[in-house]
Amino acid sequence: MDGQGHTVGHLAVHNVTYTYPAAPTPALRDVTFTLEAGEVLLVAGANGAGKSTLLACLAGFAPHFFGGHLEGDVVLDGRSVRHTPLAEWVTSVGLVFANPFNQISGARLTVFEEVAFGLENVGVPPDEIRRRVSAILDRLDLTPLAERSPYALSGGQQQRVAIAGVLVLEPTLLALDEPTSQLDPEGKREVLALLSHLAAERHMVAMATHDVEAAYRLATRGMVLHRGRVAGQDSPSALLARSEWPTWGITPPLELALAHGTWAPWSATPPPFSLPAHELALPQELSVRVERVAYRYPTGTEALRGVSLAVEPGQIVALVGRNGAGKTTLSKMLNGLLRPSEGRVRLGPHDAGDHPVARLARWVGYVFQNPADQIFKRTVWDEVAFGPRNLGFPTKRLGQAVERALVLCGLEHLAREHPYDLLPNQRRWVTVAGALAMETPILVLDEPTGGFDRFDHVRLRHLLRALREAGRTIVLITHDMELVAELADRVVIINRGTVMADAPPRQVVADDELLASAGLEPPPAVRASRALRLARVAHTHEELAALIDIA
Amino acid sequence: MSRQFNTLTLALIPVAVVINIVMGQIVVVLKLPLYLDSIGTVLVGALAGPLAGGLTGALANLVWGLLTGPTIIPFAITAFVIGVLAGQFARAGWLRPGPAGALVKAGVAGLVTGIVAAVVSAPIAAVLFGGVTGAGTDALVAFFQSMGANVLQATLGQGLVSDPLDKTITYVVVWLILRAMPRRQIARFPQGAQLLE
Amino acid sequence: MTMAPTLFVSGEGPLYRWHPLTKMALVVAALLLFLVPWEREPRWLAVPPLLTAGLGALMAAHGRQPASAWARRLFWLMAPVLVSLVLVQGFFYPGGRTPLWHAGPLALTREGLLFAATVGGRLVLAVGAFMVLLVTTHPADLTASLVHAGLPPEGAYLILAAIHLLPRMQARAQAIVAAQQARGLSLEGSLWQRARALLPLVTPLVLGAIQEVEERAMALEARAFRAPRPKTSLRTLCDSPAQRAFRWGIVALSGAIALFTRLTFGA
Repeated sequence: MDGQGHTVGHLAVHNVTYTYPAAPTPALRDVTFTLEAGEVLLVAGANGAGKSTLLACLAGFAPHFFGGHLEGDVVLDGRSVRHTPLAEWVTSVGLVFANPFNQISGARLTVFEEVAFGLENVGVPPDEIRRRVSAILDRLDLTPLAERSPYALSGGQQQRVAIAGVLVLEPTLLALDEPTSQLDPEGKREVLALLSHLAAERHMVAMATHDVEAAYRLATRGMVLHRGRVAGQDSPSALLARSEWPTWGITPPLELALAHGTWAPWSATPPPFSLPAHELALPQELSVRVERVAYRYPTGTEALRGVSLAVEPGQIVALVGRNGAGKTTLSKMLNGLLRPSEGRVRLGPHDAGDHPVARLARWVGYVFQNPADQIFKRTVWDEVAFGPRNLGFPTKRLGQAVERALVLCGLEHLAREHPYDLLPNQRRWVTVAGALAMETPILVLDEPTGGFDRFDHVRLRHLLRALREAGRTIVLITHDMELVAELADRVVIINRGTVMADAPPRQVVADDELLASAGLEPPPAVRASRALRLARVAHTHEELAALIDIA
Repeated sequence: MSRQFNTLTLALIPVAVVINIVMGQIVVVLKLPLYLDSIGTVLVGALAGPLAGGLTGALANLVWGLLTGPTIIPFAITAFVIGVLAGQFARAGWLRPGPAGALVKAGVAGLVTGIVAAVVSAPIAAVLFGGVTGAGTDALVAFFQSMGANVLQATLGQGLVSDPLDKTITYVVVWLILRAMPRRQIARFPQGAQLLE
Repeated sequence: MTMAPTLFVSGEGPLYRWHPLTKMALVVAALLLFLVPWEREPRWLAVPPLLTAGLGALMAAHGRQPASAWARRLFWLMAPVLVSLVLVQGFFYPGGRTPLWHAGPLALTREGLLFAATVGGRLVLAVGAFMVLLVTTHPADLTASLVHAGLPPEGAYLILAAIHLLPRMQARAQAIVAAQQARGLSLEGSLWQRARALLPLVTPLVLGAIQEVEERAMALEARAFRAPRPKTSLRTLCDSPAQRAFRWGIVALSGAIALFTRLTFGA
């Protein structure tokens, strides 16, 4: 009990309805729940279901930062968010979000100073700052990084520093919005380990994530949001075992879904688009041949050496490996953004070295990692049409190509919207559509699944399968081993600039030693079949379900 | 400074400072005979008002000075004036992202800003640097002086040849960027509502 | 990439221990000397280069690396300006009456050379003093000292954040150039064609950055950056009464010289 007689560590959310400024409808409707010290709340739901909005309400950013209109109230230890200024509220509720880079203040040079930033801002004396920062760095295993620049860290380390920078203010509630969605598998593991540590320390935590599989064991409470409303609240294992998950747009933990008989493969969901296969076929098919390629940066650092790769039309080849291993360097050679220092790249009969990038664009469509690095038009339609316009498509073909790409990417009803008025996952689909509309025989996708929910994952799988059937040559860069196991014809593991393995997925995804050396983890189906001690190791969810049926 | 700017403006200013600097890189990639190094300054002036715009300009010169050397720092005064003017023009509705015809107004605002920039820079360049910069444009100063101009007049003449064109294009580019920005996002900034009306 | 490379070169010695404001006083003193009517007496024109050489000797006492960074950067900043000064003002100075040397129709004049030497000498001295400050002071200490002297902490944030953001934004600019080329945008061709490529490159740079501004602002708020209380600072700078006396002393001295020479010998 504190001085005012309130229980310390009690959050009450009363009938919260929140509408963003100028939005026609609320993003969050009538949300009510309570949370006590020591509880970890997992918030799941599709993109646009209201997860981020809920956390913004808890952290006071809605309405204090965004404006808009809040009905109901968030009360923490007797204090109402409505009547507390944001600068005060943030010392009680700490907010951490997905992008580690943007959370680093930029005003401080070392991790130690960065973590101290919040305490300086509330006027804590320097000696006490040093004590508190040292203590938190110790608790979160960040002491070895204390004197490093926060900008010189990996994404996972930066995210841990961001969490420390907020925790040092000793908030009652820690609100985490997709804390692992922009991290590689190693970064995810680091941050999840930190979170389980916090759960063990009995912090009050609310966390929104798509990665339910990884996070649900940490949680003591579960909540699913669907179209701005609470669709269910329960213990995480009970909630995620319910059969409604396909309509919620979430992916439940495989073992729970199997145990409760609610599991369904993605292919059981019909494709979210209907296009006759011939509409995807192109007059031209091109193979990819990378022949003994080496690449050295102008600084002399060797990024690739002796790399060979072949992809045929109608094939999906997955490039996997650590960040910085050379996957993106390799893929950028396909469309001439980088030129090999040795060896050559052939696209069907063409030598890539003979053509400038702008011409190679006719053959190679490329979906980049960061949608913000290309979007610049005022409507989705114009944005998608930019590539084919550059390629000189005549009006009729342009219209058809754009419309088709919009349908495939689920954007047909958003064609007149501003790309920056869409959700982040929809913006990613805009870039996919932009590449598809160029109607290239070869397609490269670099980490296309960031921020995807179940609906997006299902769409991407149907889309890739349809493109493969239409004879496209597809190179997929990803950390998502589940996607690789389900769709790739071959997996190429790149490690330190060389090809470490080039084989069908089933020869790779259960080879722990090989995966570990490339910083990868086996897909959930492999882990589950081991946990269930099945006679054979299943590589995909579908195989696993079949094995269980037989057993 | 603490209370005059909201947090969004404070976060915007360093980003705009860096946009100014990075523009130099893009102009080189495209081999364009322009600087366009006030795009961030004019953008902040438009979105967050004259004072924020002026501060962005001055800071850009200061930061660039920390990175490359102090000779650019005195021209922070010019950059400040450019940001303030952009804010005032935006306030008066000259940068309103409207139909294509409104482009002319933005261009005229840029032209005026360019002339003022040349007038403000001239005494700085004349007094501190004797009218020269060490670049090819110094030939213009020599030319004007050989035609009978004094150092200040010649420096002004040199500025008037390059600045108005550069700032006109800068304003046009900023106007086009504002037009491409979602209205919702513009409205988030202190002067956004005024900009849209 | 951590921070854009600044002029700072790490090292040891008194200049590194001095309070940044003390070094800033050198800059102010050098700027005050602009008021001295150097052109009145050609012999005086030797003074600014001698003082600059003094600064060089001071830097040299701090080791090879800081000294050579200082000298090299000063040379590359100033050499083109000095050459230009001699060419433009030596030959085309409006007040040039006394030809010293003829090159075709052009004449190098005594007045022009005096003007060039006056402007060039005091300029090199001021830039040299500024370079002493920048080479021996980390930007974080520089901004911290300004905050101690009364600059709002937000001002320090603006400067340091910009230096930290630059590498990231440069990388984004490269990524944008790559992405738009991959969508068939050509960066070659006539001036008009290249100018048309400007918007597809600039607009994503700005729109993406503004999108990040919102997140960066939220992150600042989450760290209580706008708390309405006085802030404290971990970074401490050593100052002393002697340094304070030196600061005021050197500025006063240089101001007095400027005032005296101007009143006595000024036009």
